[in-house]
Amino acid sequence: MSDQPTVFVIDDDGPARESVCLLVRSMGIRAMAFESAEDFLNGFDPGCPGCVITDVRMPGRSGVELQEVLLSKSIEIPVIVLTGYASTNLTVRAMKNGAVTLLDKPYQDNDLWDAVRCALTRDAAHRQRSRRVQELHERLERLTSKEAGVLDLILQGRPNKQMAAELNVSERTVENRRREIFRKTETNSVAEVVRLAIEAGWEQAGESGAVDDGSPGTS
Amino acid sequence: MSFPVESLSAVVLDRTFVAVSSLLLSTELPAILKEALLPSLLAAIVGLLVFSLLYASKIVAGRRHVEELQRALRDKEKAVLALEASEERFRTLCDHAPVGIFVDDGSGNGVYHNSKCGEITGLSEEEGLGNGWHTAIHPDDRERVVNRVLEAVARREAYQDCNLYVHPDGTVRWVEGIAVPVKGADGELVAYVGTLLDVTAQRKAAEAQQASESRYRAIVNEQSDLIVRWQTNGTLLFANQAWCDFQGCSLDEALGIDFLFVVPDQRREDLRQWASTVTAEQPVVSGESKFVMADGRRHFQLWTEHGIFDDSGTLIEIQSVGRDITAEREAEEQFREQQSLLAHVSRLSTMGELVAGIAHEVNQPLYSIKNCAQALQNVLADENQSNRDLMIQCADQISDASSRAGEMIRRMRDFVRHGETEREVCDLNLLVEEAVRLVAFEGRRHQATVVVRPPNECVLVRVDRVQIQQVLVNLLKNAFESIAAAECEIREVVADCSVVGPVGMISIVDSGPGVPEEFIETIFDAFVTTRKEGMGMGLAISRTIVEGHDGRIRVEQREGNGAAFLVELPVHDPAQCFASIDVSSAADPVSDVTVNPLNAVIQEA
Repeated sequence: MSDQPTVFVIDDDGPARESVCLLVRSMGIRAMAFESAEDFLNGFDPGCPGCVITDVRMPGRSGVELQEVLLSKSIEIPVIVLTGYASTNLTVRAMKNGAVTLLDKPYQDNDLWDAVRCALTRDAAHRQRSRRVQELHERLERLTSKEAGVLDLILQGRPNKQMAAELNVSERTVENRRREIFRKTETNSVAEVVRLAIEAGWEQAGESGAVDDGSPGTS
Repeated sequence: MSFPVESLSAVVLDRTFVAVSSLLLSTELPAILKEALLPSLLAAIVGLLVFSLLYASKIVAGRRHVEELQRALRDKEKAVLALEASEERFRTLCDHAPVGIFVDDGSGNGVYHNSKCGEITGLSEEEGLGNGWHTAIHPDDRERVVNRVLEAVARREAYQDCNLYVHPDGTVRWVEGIAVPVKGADGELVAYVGTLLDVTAQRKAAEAQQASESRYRAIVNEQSDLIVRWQTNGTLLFANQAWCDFQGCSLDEALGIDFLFVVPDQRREDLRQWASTVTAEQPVVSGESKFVMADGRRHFQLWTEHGIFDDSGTLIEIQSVGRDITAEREAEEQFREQQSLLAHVSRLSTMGELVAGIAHEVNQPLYSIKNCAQALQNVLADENQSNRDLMIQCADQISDASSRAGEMIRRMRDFVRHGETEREVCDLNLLVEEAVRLVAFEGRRHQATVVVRPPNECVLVRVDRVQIQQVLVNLLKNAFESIAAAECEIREVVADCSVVGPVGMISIVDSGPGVPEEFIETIFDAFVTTRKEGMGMGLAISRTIVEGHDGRIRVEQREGNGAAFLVELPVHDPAQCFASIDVSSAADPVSDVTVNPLNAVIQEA
């Protein structure tokens, strides 16, 4: 899939769908049309950048239900929801599901353009972020379980001595593992490695290491 | 045999005298006869004498003559004897005549009447003589009759009269009397001879007949039906009072009217045509005619024409019996108008329920138009970009979308239209499609799909399009709601049109739970509903509409397939149904069919 973002237009009403595609194309953005949420889910590549513009009321899955399917699959493509007439209920549900915005048809001149731009920006940022997280994950995955256990304790702010006691190893061993952690994560300080772990969403990754060590990570 | 002349004369005279005298002396001979016969007898006698004498003077001419004379004399003798017999016969005749015979003296006084006269008048022979007969005449009638007779007598004229006689026992007889004057040889009136005839029986029969006839006439006349009898050329032979009143003329005037001239044009043509084909075997025809009178009032009449044929089988007269059914027809019309008003109100209410959907259906193309217009603006604003294809696509889209919006608005306007209850011939398939489009949004709202079976044939019916659409919209809405209420897995409504014999049938089958058993019978009644929010009017009005089209609506429970609502309407004319129509357009019935129903509606010629 190319890096060019694509707008995925989902509407069961043919002419309406076509018109949105035309509008998107007139903005110089690629557009792809789908007749239903199911068609989209079948034909869509999550790796492809872009955003979704979906109608709410459609035979089969509604636009809001589509959002929920995407969430359940952790596909974080931004979604713009279009509706003929919005109810509070629907609006709340769509926004809770993380919609970029919810537009009443017909919308103001630049609303869709703004929404599309916002969505594409959000998608690009998200993709960038997730690329970084991916990379950090890769770095953290280099750690052995024992090193991961040390990282857990670093994150808890324990000094080396206490770590050694807790892990039932020598202080020197702890120091060696810390060095390995800095090397593998390409960091130079505790502060740096802590930030990296938070950024990567590190959470008790050392649990497995703790098990290896025969003692629970939480106490 | 020979006689001396003297003795011959003596014999002749003697015989004559005897004959005459016996005749004259006969007391039984009525005086009138004596008077009438005497001169002729005398003349005969004198003539005979002269003849005898002449003959005697010539006797010498030869005995042969004498013999002839003798023979002649014998003949005369026979004649006289015959005269006597004749008189006797006359008397017998008079006495046994079935009519009363009377003779008067020429001035109104009775001189003779036979026994039948007595029977008729109730008077004895003596009582009837002179002016005795006056007493037999009914007192109310007496003066008139007597005067009448006396006047006729005074003028020496014959008279005839019918009058009442009262018998001594009080019975009253109708008697017809005729009398003619009898004149003597000198031309003077000598008597009246007349007859009396008892006509009581005939009179009574005639009266009974008249009473019967006037009874019938009264019945015919007092009929509220219009009754006319006329000849094939239009000549009116009879018209009853009702017809005269309707036509605004008297019976006398009516009898001069050319019937064919006064009937409405259309009926005249029908009558002419009918008269040319009617047969003695099938002499009756009925039909309704509608026309406007000179005063501008509309009339509806139901006429039955009955042809009357002569022995040779030629139509000679027509008896027409008509009933003015204007009041009934007007009441029916009023009922229809009210019904159509009710249907209209119900349509407005349905439209109220559909309005959100309709708004969406109109909004949707407007939304497309706006998108395309903006896309065009974007392309045009960017000087570096000149995407012709895109611009063309935008323009096409705008054009299509505006047509679509227009169609939807027309459909909506048609649906709430009121006042025209004109029926036109149209294809049920198209009505189904129109209805499906009206409720398309409702279907989406309930996440139900409508499948319209591709039409196999054109199902022509003569209907009020809007009202039948209303029925279909109702049924489709019900189907959606029933599916939605039951939260069915399969959410489908199948609409189908077909021809079953003389009936065009629409079936709307839903995948819902169907109609509960206890509602099957009553679901079409007013205020019966299976839904909480329902008024129970939709199906009741639908039934009224369908029955108003001589059709039928019913519901069937389909095994595992919800309810099937069936609407049956009489097919307009099977001969005009085309075997095939373009079915390719029906492949995706709901979204892609592009039909202009106005083109397909066949206006009745």
